[in-house]
Amino acid sequence: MNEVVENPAQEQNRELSELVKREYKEGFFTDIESDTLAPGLSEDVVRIISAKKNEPEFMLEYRLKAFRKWQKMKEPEWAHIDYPKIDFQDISYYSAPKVQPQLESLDEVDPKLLETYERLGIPLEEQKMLANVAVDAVFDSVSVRTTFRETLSEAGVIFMPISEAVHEHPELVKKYLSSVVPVQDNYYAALNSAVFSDGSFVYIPKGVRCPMELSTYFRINEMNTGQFERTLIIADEGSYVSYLEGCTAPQRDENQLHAAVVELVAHKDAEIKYSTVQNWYPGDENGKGGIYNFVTKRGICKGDNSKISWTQVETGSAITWKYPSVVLQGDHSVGEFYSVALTHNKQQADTGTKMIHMGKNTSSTIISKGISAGHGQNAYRGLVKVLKGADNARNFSQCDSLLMGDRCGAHTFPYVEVQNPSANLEHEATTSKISEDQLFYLMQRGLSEEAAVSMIVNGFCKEVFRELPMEFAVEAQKLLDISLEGAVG
Amino acid sequence: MSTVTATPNHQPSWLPSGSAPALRAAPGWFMELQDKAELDYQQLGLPGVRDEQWRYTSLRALKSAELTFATGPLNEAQLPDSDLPRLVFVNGCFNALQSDLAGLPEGLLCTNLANALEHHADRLEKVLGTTLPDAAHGFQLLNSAYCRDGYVLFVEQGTIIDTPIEVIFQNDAGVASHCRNLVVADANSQCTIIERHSSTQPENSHDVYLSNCLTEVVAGQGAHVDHYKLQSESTEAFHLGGIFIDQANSAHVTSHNIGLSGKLLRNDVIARLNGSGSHIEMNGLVLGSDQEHMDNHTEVVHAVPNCTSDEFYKTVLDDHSRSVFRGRIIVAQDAQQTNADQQNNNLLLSPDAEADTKPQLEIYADDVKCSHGATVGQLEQKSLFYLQSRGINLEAARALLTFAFANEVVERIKVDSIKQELTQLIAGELMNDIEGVL
Repeated sequence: MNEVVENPAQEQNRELSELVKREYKEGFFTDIESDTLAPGLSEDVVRIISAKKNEPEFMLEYRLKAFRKWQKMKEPEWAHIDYPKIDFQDISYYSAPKVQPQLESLDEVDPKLLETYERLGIPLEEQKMLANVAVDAVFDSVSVRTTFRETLSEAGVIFMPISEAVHEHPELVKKYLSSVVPVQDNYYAALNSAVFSDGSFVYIPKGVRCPMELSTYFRINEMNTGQFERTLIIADEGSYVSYLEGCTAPQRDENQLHAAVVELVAHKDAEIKYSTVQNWYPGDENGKGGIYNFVTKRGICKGDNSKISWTQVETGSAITWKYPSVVLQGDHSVGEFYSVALTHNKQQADTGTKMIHMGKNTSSTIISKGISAGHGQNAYRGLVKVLKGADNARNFSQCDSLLMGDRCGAHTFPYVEVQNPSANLEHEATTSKISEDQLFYLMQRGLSEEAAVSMIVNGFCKEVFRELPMEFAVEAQKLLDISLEGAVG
Repeated sequence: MSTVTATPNHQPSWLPSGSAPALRAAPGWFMELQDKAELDYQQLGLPGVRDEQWRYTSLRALKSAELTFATGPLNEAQLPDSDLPRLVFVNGCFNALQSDLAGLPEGLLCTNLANALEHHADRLEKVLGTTLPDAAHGFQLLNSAYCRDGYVLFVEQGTIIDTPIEVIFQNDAGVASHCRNLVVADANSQCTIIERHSSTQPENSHDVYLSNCLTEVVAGQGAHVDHYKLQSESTEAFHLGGIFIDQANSAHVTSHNIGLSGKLLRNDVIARLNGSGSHIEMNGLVLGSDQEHMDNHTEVVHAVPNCTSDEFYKTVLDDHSRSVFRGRIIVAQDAQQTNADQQNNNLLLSPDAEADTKPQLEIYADDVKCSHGATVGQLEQKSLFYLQSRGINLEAARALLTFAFANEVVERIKVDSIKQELTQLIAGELMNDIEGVL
């Protein structure tokens, strides 16, 4: 035998080191002249942001109120994550592409922008025609393009940047903005409320089933520009909407802060399905650079028989701090949370959900799959709370973790609080590494190790991928495959 | 410019005023240990609901309770009906007259802390206080600062004690006591300890007192230690307990933690598996009724490879009672081949009861098998229906199923007399009104 037999640990190290050397595939930077505020945050900055966006008085009041609350708050430190302190005065709070396009067709869009989208594999044209998806592409802070507005408006669906909604539908914005996530909810939500740049506004009228899946692609582009999305989705009685959110960002060294707020309101018999594929820049193998993703996502099932479903695939960001939650207020309402979170290299994720049962006969399902590789730290943190009046509440939670390599970590911190004896709650968690037996079996059937790992991981995540819309499921699988190339020896 | 003035830490009445009464013949290192704990306590103070580990536990009643620091026994203890060798502590002080250690084999030092400090200080010095958590909370610091007595058990290498040793802790009304106990089991030794905590008054006592009682267990290579803690405190009593266990190679420790009554019972059970092949079994049962509040905070640290842990805690809550369970399993970076299991099941019998549970896994190694399961719910309708269809009335059916739920923990008890006692006690409590049905 002339083959050099490496011991498994060496083999694994070699593969891991190959893996960590992999460049971030979406890492490029589009050079577009932009209008950026100098770093720093003060009341004046809040006023400038509001003025730049030409906002009505009530929005300025709202922002200032949030800013004053934020000043009195402290950064949360309870999460199982570790990062250098953020200097909030070192961040620029507004950045907009200088060319403000008011365009009718794609031809008029800055070709550089279009090129960016193409390199990300999201050609707008193709999506328009093939995928039947309306795309509201946010490039840094200002929405540059909204498609399919007409088709949607025929159905009565409002889908527009929130900065426009403030002007066109102030009564809806006034009524629902911060009705789910109060401005003082947490540190980052308050910050977002003060300085949010833009985001999507969706209103589905009574009895309307949204004719297509709504989608927003985000990119963070300007150096040192904090990105503060604000999304508000309202599903009126008996309506249905599926919303997709996906993100990529170019490579850079400075850590970037991303503090989004997403609010969902589901009225009687309405259903909202919110899916996320997140692939922001995770930093290099030493944890340098990468996005800080501190997100507040919450939905309220306001009416009876309403349903909110969160699905997320989190593979990017240096730090993820995210707990999409559902307040089950209406009787018979349903909350769901399906999550795959992958941490690799020095990535850290502290993510999970909250299910607050208030109405009678409410039920919730939590399926969380965590995958840790390299030095990744992956924590599930969740709360299931059953209030006194929530008769016959039902919850099933399952948190599984998969470990690859002996330097990563997987943690679970579920909280269960029950004040009603008719509640029926189950929580299960398991942690294990990829089964040697399964690997061996697949490999002796002729699969390469990588293909075998990919197959096992995809099987591990199947319950979550199944919940994703078709085109997202494909993207999610691809992302996992790329992220885990050779992660197991 | 406004200056922030620090509000002085509210001191409960039951702390010794000025410096605590000195201990007779305590060695210098012990005094230092106590002084340091006192200083640390003054820095830290008592925990509050803002502390993550205390967020579900209100200490308001305890902080404002009128209690005095215990200086000696006033009443005699009410002894249980058993002929086991026993040590008796009333108000945190040793009662030699009621204690009886006849019949214990050679190779064993079994005494009280005050005596051990006087005569065996060198043996204590190496171990006392070493198992306490680094980030001890206020009550643990208070215990270190003011403990005067407790039981001390040194089991020498290879010594096997068949008879369980019983330790009785009883308190009078109006007393705050701080006992510190120590069990050191050398290599390949075996012992069983049964702690009983109650009031000095007969059953159904409503005495108000605080028992802040910590037990340290150091299990050497291949040692087997079975520890039982039965708490039938007065319905107005506060019990803050801790069991801290350090285990060497192949040591097997079992902790049974049974909470039967008390206004506030809280136990911190921490096991550190420092030697390969060691195994910890943690069993717990809480039976809450009335306004009782019962907390169990457990932590298993797998510091080295090839250890196993098995945790099984059950809670039955009636009336307005409330329970908190926090179970934390930590698997250190190189602790491969760990096998850790944790179960916490909560049964709510009343619409006003509340159960909060926080199972946590923190895993830094990859070749491990860890799982935890937590459930909260009521009795299954199907099972109730089945029993009723067999002619058993609803109340009896409920009692039967509740008994079966709780009995799963009792079944794990290895001492027959305790097992019987608990079986009867639980059955008696549940089946009061349905006598004759079975």
